[in-house]
Amino acid sequence: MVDSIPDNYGTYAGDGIHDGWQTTHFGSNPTQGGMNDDPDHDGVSNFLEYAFGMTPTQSDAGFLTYSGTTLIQPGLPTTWMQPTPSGVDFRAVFVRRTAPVAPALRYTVQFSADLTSWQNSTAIPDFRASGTDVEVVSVRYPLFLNNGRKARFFRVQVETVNPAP
Amino acid sequence: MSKFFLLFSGGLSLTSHPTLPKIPAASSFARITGVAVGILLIPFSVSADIVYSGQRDIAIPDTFDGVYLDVQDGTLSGSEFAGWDLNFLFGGTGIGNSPGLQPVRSGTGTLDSVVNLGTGALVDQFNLYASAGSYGGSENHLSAGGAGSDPKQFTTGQEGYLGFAAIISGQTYYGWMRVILTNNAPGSRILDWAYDDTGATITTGTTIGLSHFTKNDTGLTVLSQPHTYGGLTTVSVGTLELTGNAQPGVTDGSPASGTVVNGSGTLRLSGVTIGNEALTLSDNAKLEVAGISTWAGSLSLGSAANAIVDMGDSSAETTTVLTFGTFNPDNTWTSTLSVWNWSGIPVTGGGPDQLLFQNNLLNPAVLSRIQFYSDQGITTVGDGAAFTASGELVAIPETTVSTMTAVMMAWVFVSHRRESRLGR
Repeated sequence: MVDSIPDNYGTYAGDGIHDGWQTTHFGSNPTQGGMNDDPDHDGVSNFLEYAFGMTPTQSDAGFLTYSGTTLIQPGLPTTWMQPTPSGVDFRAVFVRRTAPVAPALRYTVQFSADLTSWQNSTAIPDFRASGTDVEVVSVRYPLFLNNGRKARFFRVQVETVNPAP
Repeated sequence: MSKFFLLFSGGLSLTSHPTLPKIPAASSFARITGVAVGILLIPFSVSADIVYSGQRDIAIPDTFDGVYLDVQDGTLSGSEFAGWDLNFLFGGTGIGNSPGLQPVRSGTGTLDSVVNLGTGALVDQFNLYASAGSYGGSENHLSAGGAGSDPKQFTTGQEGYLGFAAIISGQTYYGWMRVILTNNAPGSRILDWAYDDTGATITTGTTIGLSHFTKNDTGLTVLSQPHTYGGLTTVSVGTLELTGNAQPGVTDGSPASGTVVNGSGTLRLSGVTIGNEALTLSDNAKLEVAGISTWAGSLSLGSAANAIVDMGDSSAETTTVLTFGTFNPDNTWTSTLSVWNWSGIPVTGGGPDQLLFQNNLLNPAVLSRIQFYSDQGITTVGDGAAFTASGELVAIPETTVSTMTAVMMAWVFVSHRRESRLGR
C-alpha cells in the first residue's frame, strides 16, 4: 500500500503525482490513473488536474474562481485585471499545490506573441486566495514581451522536481 | 522530468472587442501639398507634403485587443492586420507599435516608455526611438497626474501628443498623434494625427512644415488655430472653414503666401481676422461669410472668374460683415461676382450684411458685373454695384421704366427746342 514515500507506489511511482491523491481518486489498481490519462475527458490530464487542484473524475475544465482570499472553485489559469491610478494591474492567475509538499512541483508562467517562442515570467508569484491543499497565486502579465511583441498568449508550465526514483 | 503546459490567450477572460468600422482610406484626409509655384512666394527652398488625418475621435476600447491603426491610410481594426502601425489597448494603458512605426520614447529600448511631447514640440531624428524594424511596447507612460508626475508622461484623461517616425517604403516620415489615454476608463481617444511625407521635421499639434496646404477632399475641414506653414493655401474641393484664431499662412508681419479657392472649393470665414495675404477666387469658387470677419489682404478675382460671396441665410439674419483690405480683380476680368443672401441697404449701406473694402481699384465697368441677390442667385437686388464713401460695396437700384421715360421725354423736349430755334 501507499507508504511514507509519496511517489513510489506501483504504476503510480515516479510520475510526480502524490500516490495518496491517485489512490483516493482511482484506487490501488487503476486503469486510468496514470499521469497522462484523462478519465473525465475534460482535456486536462491527471497530472494537471493534480497540479491545479482539480478533480480528475469530474469534467471540470473551467477557469478557477475565487472571492477575496478564498478559492471558490479550482480550475484552469486565467487572467485578472484592475485599473490603477497609472494604468492597469493585469495578471496571470493560477492554482498551485501547497500540500502535500512532495513530490514537489515547479510552476512557470510563460508568455508568447506567436505560440512559438516563449518568455518566462521572472516575477515571484504573489498570494491571492487559499483553498484545500492549494492556493491561488498570480504574476504580473506583461502587455509586451522583451522583443516588443504583444504578449497575446500565456501558459503555465508545470514540472516535477526531483521525482522519486 | 515531466513538463506539461496549458495555454491561454491573454484576452481569454476579457470582454470581446467590438469590430471597429473601417474608415475610408485617404478620402477623408486633408492633404497639405507642396506645389512649385508656392516656392516663388515664400522664403523656403523646400516644399513639403503633410498628410493630416482630420479630426477622427476614435474610441480606444477597454480590452486587451484594443484598436489597431494604420496611420498611412487610417485603417482601423480590433485585431492585427497587415500594415498596422499602432495598437492602443486597455484604454491606452498599453501602446504597441509595429516595425513600420517607431514612437518617440524615453530611451532607445523597445520597451521604453512612449513619451508625451506636448504641443509645439519638434519631431525629428534627434528624438529617441527604438531601432527601426523592431516591434515595441509601452505600458508605463501614464501617470495619475498631480504633483511629482513626470512631465513626459501622459496624464490619464488628459490630452497629449506622441511623436513618431513612420517608415513607408523605406523612407522615414516624422509625425505626431493627439490622444487622450486613460487607465482603462471611458474617454480614451485617438483624436487626430499628421505626418510630413517628405521626411521633413514636424511640430506636434500643428499641420505645419515648410509646406503648403491643399484641401483635396470633400467635406469640411476646420482650422481654428494659427498655422505656421508658409506656403499657399488652396481649397480645391470641399469646404475649408477658418474660425477662432485660424491663420491660413504665417503671419510674421509680411504678406503671407496667399489663399486660392478653386472652382469646386468653398472657403468659409466664421468670425476670423486674417492677416495681410491675398485671397483669390477662381471661376465658380465660393466664399461664405458668417459673423464679423476681416481679411486684411486683397480679394482678387481671376480673369475668367464667376465667383460667389455668400453672406449667409437671410431668413435668420444676423450681422454679417466682411472687411477686405482691397478689392483687386484682374484688369482683364470680364466675368461676374455674385453676392448671395445679401440683406444690406442699397446705395447707402449700413445694413445687416456689409461687404467692406478699405481700398478699391474698381472701375465702373467692373462694378457693373457685380450683382447682389437676396437669395442664392435667383432674386436680384438692384443692378450692379457701387462703393459708398465708407468703402462698403452696395447694390445700386435698377433703372426704372418711368425714369427712362422721363429722360426720353426730356431729350425730346430739348431736341424740339433746338429744332425750333434753328427754324426747322
